[in-house]
Amino acid sequence: MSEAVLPFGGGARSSVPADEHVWVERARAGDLEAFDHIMIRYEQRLQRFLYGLVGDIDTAQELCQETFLAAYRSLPHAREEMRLSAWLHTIALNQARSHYRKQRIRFHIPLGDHDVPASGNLQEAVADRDLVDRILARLPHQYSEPLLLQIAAGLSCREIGQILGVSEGAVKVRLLRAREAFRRAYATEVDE
Amino acid sequence: MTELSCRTVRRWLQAPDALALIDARHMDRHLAGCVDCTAYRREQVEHDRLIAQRLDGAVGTSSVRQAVLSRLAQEHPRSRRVRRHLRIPLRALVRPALVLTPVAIVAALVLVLIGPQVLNRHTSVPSAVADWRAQRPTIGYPLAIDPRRPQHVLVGAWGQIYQSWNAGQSWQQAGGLPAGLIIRDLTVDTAHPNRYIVAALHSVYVSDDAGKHWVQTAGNLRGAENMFLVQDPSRPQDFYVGPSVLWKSTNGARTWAQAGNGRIFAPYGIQSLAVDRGALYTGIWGGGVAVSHDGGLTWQRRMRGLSPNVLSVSTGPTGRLWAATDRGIYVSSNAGLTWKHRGPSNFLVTSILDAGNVVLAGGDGSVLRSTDGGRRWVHAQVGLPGDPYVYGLLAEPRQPGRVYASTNGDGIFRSDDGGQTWQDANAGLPIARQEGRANLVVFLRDGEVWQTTSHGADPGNLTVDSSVRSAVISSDGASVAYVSGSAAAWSIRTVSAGGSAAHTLLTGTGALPRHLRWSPSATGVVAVIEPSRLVVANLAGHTSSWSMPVSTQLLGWTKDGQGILLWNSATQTVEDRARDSGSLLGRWPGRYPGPPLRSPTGSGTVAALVAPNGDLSLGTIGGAWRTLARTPGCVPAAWSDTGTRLLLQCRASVEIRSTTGRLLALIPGTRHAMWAPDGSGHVLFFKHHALWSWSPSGIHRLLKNASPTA
Repeated sequence: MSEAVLPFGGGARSSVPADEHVWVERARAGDLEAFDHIMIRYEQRLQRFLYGLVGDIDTAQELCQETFLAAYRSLPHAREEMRLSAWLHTIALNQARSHYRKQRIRFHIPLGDHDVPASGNLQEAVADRDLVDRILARLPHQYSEPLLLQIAAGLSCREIGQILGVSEGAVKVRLLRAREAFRRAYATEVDE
Repeated sequence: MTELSCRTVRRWLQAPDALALIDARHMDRHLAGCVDCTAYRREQVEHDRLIAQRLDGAVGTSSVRQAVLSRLAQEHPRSRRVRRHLRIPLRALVRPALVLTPVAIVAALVLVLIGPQVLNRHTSVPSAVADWRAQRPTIGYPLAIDPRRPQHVLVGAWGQIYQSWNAGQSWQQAGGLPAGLIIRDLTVDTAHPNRYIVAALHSVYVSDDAGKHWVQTAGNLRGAENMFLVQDPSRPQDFYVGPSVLWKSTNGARTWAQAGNGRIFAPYGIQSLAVDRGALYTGIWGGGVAVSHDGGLTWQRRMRGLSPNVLSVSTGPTGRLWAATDRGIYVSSNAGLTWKHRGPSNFLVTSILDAGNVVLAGGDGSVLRSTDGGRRWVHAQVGLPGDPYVYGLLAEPRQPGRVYASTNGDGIFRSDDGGQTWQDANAGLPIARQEGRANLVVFLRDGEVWQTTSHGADPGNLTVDSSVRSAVISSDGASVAYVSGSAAAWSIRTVSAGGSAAHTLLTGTGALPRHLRWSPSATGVVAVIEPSRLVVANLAGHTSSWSMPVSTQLLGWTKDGQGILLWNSATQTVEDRARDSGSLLGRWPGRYPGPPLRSPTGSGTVAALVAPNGDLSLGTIGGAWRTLARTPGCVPAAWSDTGTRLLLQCRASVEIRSTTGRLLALIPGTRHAMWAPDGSGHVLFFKHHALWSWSPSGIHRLLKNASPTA
């Protein structure tokens, strides 16, 4: 029995779900059902990450769609020793950066009502929601990207470093600065 | 080492779970003495939680998948929806198969159905593709012991709660939970004995009246399927629910909030939780064990010397911390800082119970017992099924020696001698109901047996024998028997329909066995091995062989499984012969001008036959035959489930006829057809090396590269 060549190696702290290699291998062979499994697993995470970057759910979904399309097209050629999760977020990040360039305007903050909780103080909920959006929108890319890769995507510093092309140590420094920037902005907003 | 600076500590806090053990200790020491850094850490956790909440809330549940699939379908019209045969190395197959709980559940179910005998003679044939098996039904029996009433035990089974007031001797259903739940864990509130809490798949239900009425207190909890529910023994109002991220209730399971941001569990890992002396320990698939001393707000990883794939953690009365992993048993005597391996390493352990003087470890296929703190282990399976999959082990703290084992598929077992011997405790529990198991179709592909459903979904290779000649699935859909090899050396083997190691029933040389048939109870098979010789083999290893009388033809088994039915063309009779000796036990009344096919309905008295002159007749056993139609060259192949339609296999076509003989459909170009086992009334047939489905609305190809099994 010959071994299948599987892309996306695990790496030292891999916690790849047991069936993921199977899906990847099938999707590489053109199996849409397998690719659908991959989408089910990663869609929410990618949308959260993209929303954090662009601040608009419609745009995030559009970019998420483009991310999956690009991923499917690239799968047959993918050989990187990178986890599928990190690889998908790399594509998503590239989509978002491409979007920045096209838009020239980095963020706009929508006032949609799709996430207003059913109970509780409506004004407070909207204010808190907008507060986080505003602060994320003000963070420079070099800080918001690693922060969101950690919080929204759950990636390790090593994987974030691979995606951003910087060392693990540099990722930690950026995360530290990102959080300090967030902390200052949050304190300022709350005081106001 | 010099004292750490606050700057360094704050940088390390950006990825605390990636720290080396020594660094983590230094950081902990610094944090213990630095108020500013402790406040910094809390603030960081809080801000991360705010961001995560905002992102979660913004995204909601809308999906782009359909749009992506539509665009891909347009771009890649030839994308294969039918899956390739995966040539995956055994290691890659076995690990996911072991990890996925539903898979294990199915394996356990199959073991019930096949019986323990089959497991005593494993061959080295590996099992089927894992993700196909992952879709099988899940049958776990999570168990809870009432902390106040010693004989009172609760179990979750088939979406409902059952309780026993006599330590498992009998069970009664406790009220009604909403239909369709998959119960993963449950507990009786230590502070309120009539308060039951149930963790179902992604939701939590609470009853304040001993199970009569239930209220959902959490729903749509994100994460994987291996839910756990734990009450903090020192703070009875505090409950924890997983998986994926940790949810905490501080008001008796009424409301739930996320505890910490759970990044240490990311992206998939958390499997279980243990609370001991104010500390939380969690087992993480791929991440070892993590500990929290602040109620789940922050975590430190503890995996030095530990296999990374942890399924459960537990603590014992002497302070030992145990980890059940896919590579065996691990124990730590210093709260997880360092770990030692105990017992066999090729053992997938799901649960470890430390009762002080005795330690039990249950898992895939075994229960092990140690009386010296885990240095030596012996099998402790007297009274358990032959190959149990243990779901959990619980001790009755007020009765020394009493232990319960909950299994996947086999229900509950109780031991009163610390696990040395076990007894079945399932009276009144629903065990091994076979929902959804019957809709299975076997076919041959590249010489192997494959399985699919009536819809052609998710085919998976069931055997890795590459020279399978014929195969047949048992009537309950639980087992497959097949003939492999050649005239130089053949064998009859069985494999469970959920995927298991193959079991060789019989080997031989010469003409390949033909007309393989399962017994009604699926505990044995009969086949013709020479022109006129029958062999009967059962799963316990007993075989018998006898010569068929001249001019007889094998029909199959009697309904009670004690006899073999033969049709004698010379006398036009149906003979009932003893399965072991072939001696004549009796004859069906009446004469049969062709080999009859008994209907599944009508008390078994209605049969169809085609006489040598081509007359298709219907009649009752012992009664008159009524000619319905002329069908020369055809033989009755199968009745529909309802007994209202008959499938006939002809020389180069298949016919479907009513009980009046009216031709309802004719499918040309095939001789191999069957009723779809899902009861839909569709007919599945093989043609041009593909599996097709026929219905009055049309014909659809289900699978390519598929051949009939006989």
